[in-house]
Amino acid sequence: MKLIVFTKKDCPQCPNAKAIAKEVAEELGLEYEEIDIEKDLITALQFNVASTPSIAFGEEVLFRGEVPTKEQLKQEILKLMK
Amino acid sequence: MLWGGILDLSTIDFPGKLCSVIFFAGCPFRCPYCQNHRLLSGGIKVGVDEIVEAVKRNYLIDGVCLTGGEPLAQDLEELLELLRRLKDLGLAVKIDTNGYYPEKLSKVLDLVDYVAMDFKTTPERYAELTGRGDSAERVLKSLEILANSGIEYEVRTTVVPTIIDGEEIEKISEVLSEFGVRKYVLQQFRNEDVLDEKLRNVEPYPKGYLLELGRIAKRNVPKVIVRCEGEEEV
Amino acid sequence: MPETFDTEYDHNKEFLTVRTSRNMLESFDRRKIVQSLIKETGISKEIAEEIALEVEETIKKLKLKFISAPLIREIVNVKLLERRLEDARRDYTRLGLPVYDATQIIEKGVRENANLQHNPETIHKLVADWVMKEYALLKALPLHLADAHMRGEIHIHDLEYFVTRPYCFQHDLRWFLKNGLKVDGTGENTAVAGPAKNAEVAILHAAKALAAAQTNFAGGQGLDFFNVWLAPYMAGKTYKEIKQLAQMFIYELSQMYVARGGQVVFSDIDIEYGVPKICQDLPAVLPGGVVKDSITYGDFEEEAIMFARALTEVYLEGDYVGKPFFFPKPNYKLRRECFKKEGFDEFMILVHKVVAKYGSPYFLNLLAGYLPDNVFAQCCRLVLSPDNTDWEDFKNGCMRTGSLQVVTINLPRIAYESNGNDEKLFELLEERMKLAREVIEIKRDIILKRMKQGSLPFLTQDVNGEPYYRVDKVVRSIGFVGLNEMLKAHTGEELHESKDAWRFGLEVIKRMMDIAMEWSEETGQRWVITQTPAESASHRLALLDLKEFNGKAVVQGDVKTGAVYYTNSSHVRVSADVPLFERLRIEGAFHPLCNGGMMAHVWIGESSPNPELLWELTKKIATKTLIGYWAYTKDMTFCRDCKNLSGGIKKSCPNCGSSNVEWYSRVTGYYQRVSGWNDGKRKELFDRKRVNLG
Ligand code: SF4
Ligand SMILES: [Zn+2]
Repeated sequence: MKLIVFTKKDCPQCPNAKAIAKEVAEELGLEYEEIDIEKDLITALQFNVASTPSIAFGEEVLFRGEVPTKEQLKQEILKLMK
Repeated sequence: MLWGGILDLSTIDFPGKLCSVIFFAGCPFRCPYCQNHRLLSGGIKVGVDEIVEAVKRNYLIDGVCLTGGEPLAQDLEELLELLRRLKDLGLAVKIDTNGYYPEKLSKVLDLVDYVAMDFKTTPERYAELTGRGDSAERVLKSLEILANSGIEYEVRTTVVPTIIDGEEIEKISEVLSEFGVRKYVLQQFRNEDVLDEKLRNVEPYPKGYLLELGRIAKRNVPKVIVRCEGEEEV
Repeated sequence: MPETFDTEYDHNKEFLTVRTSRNMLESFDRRKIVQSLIKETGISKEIAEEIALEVEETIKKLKLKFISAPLIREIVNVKLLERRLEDARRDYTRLGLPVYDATQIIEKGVRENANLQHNPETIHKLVADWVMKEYALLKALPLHLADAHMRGEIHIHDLEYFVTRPYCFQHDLRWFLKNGLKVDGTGENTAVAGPAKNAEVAILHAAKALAAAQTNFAGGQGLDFFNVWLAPYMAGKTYKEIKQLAQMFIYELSQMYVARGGQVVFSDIDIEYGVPKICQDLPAVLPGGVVKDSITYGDFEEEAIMFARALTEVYLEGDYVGKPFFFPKPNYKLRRECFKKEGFDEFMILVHKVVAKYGSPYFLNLLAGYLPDNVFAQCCRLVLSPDNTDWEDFKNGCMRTGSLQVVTINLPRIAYESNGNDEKLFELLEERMKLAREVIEIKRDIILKRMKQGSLPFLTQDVNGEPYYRVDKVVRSIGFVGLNEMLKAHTGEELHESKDAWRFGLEVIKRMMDIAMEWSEETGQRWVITQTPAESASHRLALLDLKEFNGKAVVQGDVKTGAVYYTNSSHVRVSADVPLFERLRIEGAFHPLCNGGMMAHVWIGESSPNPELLWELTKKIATKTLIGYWAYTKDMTFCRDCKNLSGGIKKSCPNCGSSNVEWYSRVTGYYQRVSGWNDGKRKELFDRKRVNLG
């Protein structure tokens, strides 16, 4: 399962979210992907995401329009990996 | 496990929680007024995974209500596995039981947040009503376990005209009070598609009469609720 | 060929009397035909005379005692067609309805419109509608557009009003509170009222402004920030008095059975919990229309909350016999800032008691992340995002918007015609949208013309040097119906059946939105995509497609009885066995694409759902989905005998057993009596998948 960050060009929070997600993906050995919601709006919509930054793990959106702490993100992922 | 179906969202089956309702097939009793008699036998064989899958992505719920049939008639190991998985998902669990499986009940209680247990009639008449000779004894055992568990629970009676009357309610509530039951629910009987065809023509008691019965029960149990279209505390 | 009329031919006079359209008996005079032909069609005098002569010959042969003017006209029309003068024929023909149909309307009414009761006013309206609809198709629209509608490629909504009024409107109550009210727009035919000096009058002005506006509009009339703008009038009143006012307003709008030939006003109000931030610093319009910079709406937080609660309690109580109020439709806005306000939870539980009992409230979700701080929601499902000039109006005390006209695209038809070819499908989609655009552009010209001619007086009132209605500020709405059936026909799968079908569906609607945005840039006008209020369209189009594409057409309902319909806009098929969370996820994905209006229905099967948990559900929908606007729908059975209202569609009353019952459900957004529905809609009611088995 992939860790996906939904981003937008001028979103001030996105770089932050990307950095955290990347770190977590590395630590847990997950595949990592970024999706620009303006370029691929339809994929974002299928995740029910319309605000950035949002983070999904597999099909599940974990955070919507907010930046979690590294710990929060890890915790949510581990819950789903069980 | 024997799967009987799922209701994906309910606001009335788990006090204080939006829930999905999972129906299991199979029940040791044969209550004449059973509404789910199509679930008394048969069912589809499924694994724990499949059940978890059915509720896992449901972001609208905070809990799951396991009902039936009799959910505790399922294999204990599988039940425990299911309950653990549901807990991992952060879901609260409610079990509806008829009280026939005290040992299993005691083993699952740690993983359950709410239990609704039937107390269908007075102990003397249990065997006749349910078709099981040892039912009264086992139900009383379950009640004792519940009463001592510290878990949130309710005891409930379906008020079927021709079967249950005021005297009956009085006796039941006395038994409940001995165990220290705090929440007792009187449910309105619904005649649609019940097991015993004769009962399909029996009209349910109106709400007013149920409230009257509730007041009788209230002498012995601190909180009495009447459930017909919606709930009302007596 | 005689060049002039020769008295020799006039012997007809002696035996033939004509019943004219002006209710007079006149003698037949061929010259009248010539004159009218020249005046009405502009054909040459020679041809006119030639035709007149032929007509006379024909009539003579019939050896009649009397002949009616309409029949003479039809004979003239035949002669025009024989000469291939089709345009002249179109100008010369008459409009009207067969005697049989008139009788049907008089004796039975029609079922197409769920809001119409059978009464003398609506009979007049229906007969007039017939003529106006024909006029629109024959005269206002060029042949190719009229045909596109008749063939069912597109559906032009409210054709009966096409040549007279725009669709719907959202008003700013502050303007009427500040300036008073001329219900006829000019003050020439009705009394003129100054600014309301007290709360009772303010309430009545609000109700009358909507009723007055309805005479100039085809669709819904809305009042945004209803409890906010009226809050200053509640100052110093007790809660009991405020509730009395709330009751007065709701009764006014649900009882004034006057609009458009005997209907209630299609009204809705937006209710806020308190005064939202965007309104707090605006100078308040006070009793007497007084505005002082020092007093702003922020000073009336408490009154706004009390009024919101009072309105909600009135909705909860229902009318004298316990039936729900269907109008004005209440929209509750969910804003992040509300959650921090004290008492909000308690208030929302009250709102959800109304949901549990009647289903009626609507929710506008400002938490979904794509809607701006204020959106204007009204009538069936119009949700509009304001632009800068709107904010200017908002600050100036007269924010107003609406939709000029809705034209719906028949999506399944496109699939049938493109035979599985994607490219062709998108090509046809654009082609159909262009037809819709042409229709709406004609509508724009018509409305401008009517405003000039003075036949839309409520709309031409002056607001700071501009007319109240600004044709180029309102939106042009392009709707769509049957995405689900389009997908089934084109991809072999329904919307909920695979991720790919869903994705393709999103691509279709996104393409529509992109085209609309391009047009907006090109024209400087607002072109939007909307989830069509498809009450009659989905039935009509399905029926037409069934005839035209038999074997290929994918319709819902019962083919044998003709009770067929298409699934609304981009909704999941109503009868599909899909859990609610999945349905909302699929449908929500379309909401950000429908920039002109969206709507989701959440059917409640439980006869007495728990209000606290319904509020939990509302919060989940607001924070976890992209649903921008939704309502819970509860079907209800009302007993005419014992006046008991119960949940669900029941054949007999659970309280007294009587089968003298009425059913209520929601159609397009308004609750209606089911007996007023067309066959397609009735079928849909029974096909619905409900949240709970009940
Ligand atoms: S215990 Fe419950 S499920 Fe079993 S027969 Fe009785 S009513 Fe039916
Ligand atoms: Zn009744």
